[in-house]
Amino acid sequence: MNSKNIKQKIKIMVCLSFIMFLLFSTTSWATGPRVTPSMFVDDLMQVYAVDFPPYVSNDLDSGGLNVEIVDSVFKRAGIDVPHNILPVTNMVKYYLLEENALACHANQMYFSEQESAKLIFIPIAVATEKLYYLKSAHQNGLPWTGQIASLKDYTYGAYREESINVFVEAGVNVNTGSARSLLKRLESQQADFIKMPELAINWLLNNLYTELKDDVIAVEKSESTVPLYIVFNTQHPEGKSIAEKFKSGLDENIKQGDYLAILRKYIPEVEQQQIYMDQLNGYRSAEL
Amino acid sequence: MAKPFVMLVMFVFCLYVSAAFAGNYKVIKPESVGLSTERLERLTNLIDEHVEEKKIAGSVILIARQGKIAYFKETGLADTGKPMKKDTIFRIVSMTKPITSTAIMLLYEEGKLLLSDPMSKYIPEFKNQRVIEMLPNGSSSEYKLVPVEREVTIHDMLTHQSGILYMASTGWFPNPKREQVISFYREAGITDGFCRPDESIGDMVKRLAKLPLYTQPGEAWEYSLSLDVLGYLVEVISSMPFDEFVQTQIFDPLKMTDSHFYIPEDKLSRLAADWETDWNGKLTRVNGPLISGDLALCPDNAYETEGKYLSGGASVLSTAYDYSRFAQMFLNQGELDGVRLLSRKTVELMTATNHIGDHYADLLHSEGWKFGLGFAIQQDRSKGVDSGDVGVYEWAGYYSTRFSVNPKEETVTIFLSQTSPFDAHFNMWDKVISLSTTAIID
Repeated sequence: MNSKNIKQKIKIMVCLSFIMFLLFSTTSWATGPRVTPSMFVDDLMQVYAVDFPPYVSNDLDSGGLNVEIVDSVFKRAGIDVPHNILPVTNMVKYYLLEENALACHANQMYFSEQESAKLIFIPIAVATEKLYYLKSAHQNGLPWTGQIASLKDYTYGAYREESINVFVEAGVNVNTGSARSLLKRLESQQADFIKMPELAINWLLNNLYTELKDDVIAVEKSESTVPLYIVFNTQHPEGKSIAEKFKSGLDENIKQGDYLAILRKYIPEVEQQQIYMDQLNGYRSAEL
Repeated sequence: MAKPFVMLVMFVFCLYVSAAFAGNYKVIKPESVGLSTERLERLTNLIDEHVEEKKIAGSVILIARQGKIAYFKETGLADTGKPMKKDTIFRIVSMTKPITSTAIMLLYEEGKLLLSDPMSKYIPEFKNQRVIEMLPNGSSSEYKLVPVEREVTIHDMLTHQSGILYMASTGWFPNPKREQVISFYREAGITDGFCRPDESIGDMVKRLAKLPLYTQPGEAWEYSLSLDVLGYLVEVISSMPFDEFVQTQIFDPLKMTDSHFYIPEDKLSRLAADWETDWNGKLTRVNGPLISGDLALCPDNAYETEGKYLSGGASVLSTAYDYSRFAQMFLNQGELDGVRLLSRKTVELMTATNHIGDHYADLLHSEGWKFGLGFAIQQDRSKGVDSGDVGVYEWAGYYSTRFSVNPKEETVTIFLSQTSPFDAHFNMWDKVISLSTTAIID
């Protein structure tokens, strides 16, 4: 057998194999897969979050302020990590702590010391919180003096997982609920006052509770700011390394103005943006 | 001389017609369709006794045979100082479910869906669902969430085998696993649809789809919010609001002119009140919601003339006559008054008894009843079944409403009352169906 014959035979074999492959693949996929590809999405390589508009929400095409910030940082770092927004805080904690998912947004979530030891907290946003009450229920306002004790015997509408000891010790009654349901608690007078980020309450009043818009009043001098964190899980195989990349990416996004471009969509006032960025940088420095 | 005579005949004829068709309802002599007037009187006596003893405020019962109404009786009060009428409008609650199932089957007949389709094909939130499994005491978590072994299908939803629950089921069958799933429902703001929340059904379904299932799909028969989910599926596939689809595709063709998701203002006076009974002579008109554990009933919601929430499991208001037309369509194998709504083959599919394998639909009935695509179907007489025949299909509603279709005897029985709580009524309902069945004398 000469080399020409061998080459011809190889050619024929390759052609046959190719035809067999085509035939085989057509028959086996003729009806299409019965299981959707998404069944195989990696549940752990995700950022979990609980619904908290306008920071995190399926109701917003962008996913919300915090989702946009995180997505843009991941994009800069060249990492593909989708968000999974759930309606229940405990499910988010379950995926993070029991299944060791990569990360979560820590809004409305409270972790024990033992849990926190396994987590890397990175401040990504700032919320200006105020106390709110219903004018129709409290015509003369609330007797707020700056001390929680001044609201003794009133009922506070708290987030489900919030640490409430300080309120209980001050003699304040507590009724818990999710961010969306706290306004309902006010409306049904199951709560006299709630604490909520200004951005969140404005979004809820403009989009879901328009009938309450003129009735919900902020308590004077009750303003405080809190950082909103993304939490990376050190128990995830890539948790630590992705957290590091995320920190660098966030630094870069802030420097390059990507962060501000996102913030403008949610806080259009230039002066407010400046205050916000100063506060964020303060929290970021404190973390360092 | 002839003219006055003709006019007299016409006048008498008109009187006759207006009497026989009072309220457009033609009621024939029971004997003409093989039913006994005397035996039907037993049914009248049964309800009269219940009203006299203040167990219920009132009811409307309609029995049709061979497509003709042979018994149509209103008894007691519809509301304080307001007598029950044949055209009184009732909250039929879970009797909405067969209507929703029919809507799905209409889309099935148009080739818009397959019963074997995964829900995620139309509602992406159903992808990657998890199922709860409780862990032993001392574990780091009380539960774990395991992936579904297969995706939930439209068939699972129609037959209550989706693994979704009703929140009220914590009161019916309490156990820690159910309690854990319902605690997620509570936090996610899920409602059973008996109170109408200020949101769209799609908002609720998208949240529900992200919550853990109680069982693997197909693993158990669990009466549930699945029909609410299917109401939203109708919206997704048809691109129409669910109430508009039902109105144009079911209520209009069947001339169910008094069936609505939200009552028109001019019909408010015809809506029956709900009554709370202790089954021992204490009967009180319900004002405001009835809350018991996770069961929340808001009968006052029925007075709302508009709103967003369109529950495929609970929202419809209807009359005995309207619902008898819906049931008669099924008895006629999908057709009524020359209008074909469903194919005979679809009705056969919906009323087949082998949809839920070895499970029984043992919520409304005992064992011996299977579940088709919208209602329970009698399958086995060895399990303590009281009435009807094998092949009878029926369902009921939370405010004490029930319907029963007997294909063999060609009967439709509709019982509508508005009384809470639900549990006390099984005995009376079963007697209504028994007396309706035993009135057959041919």
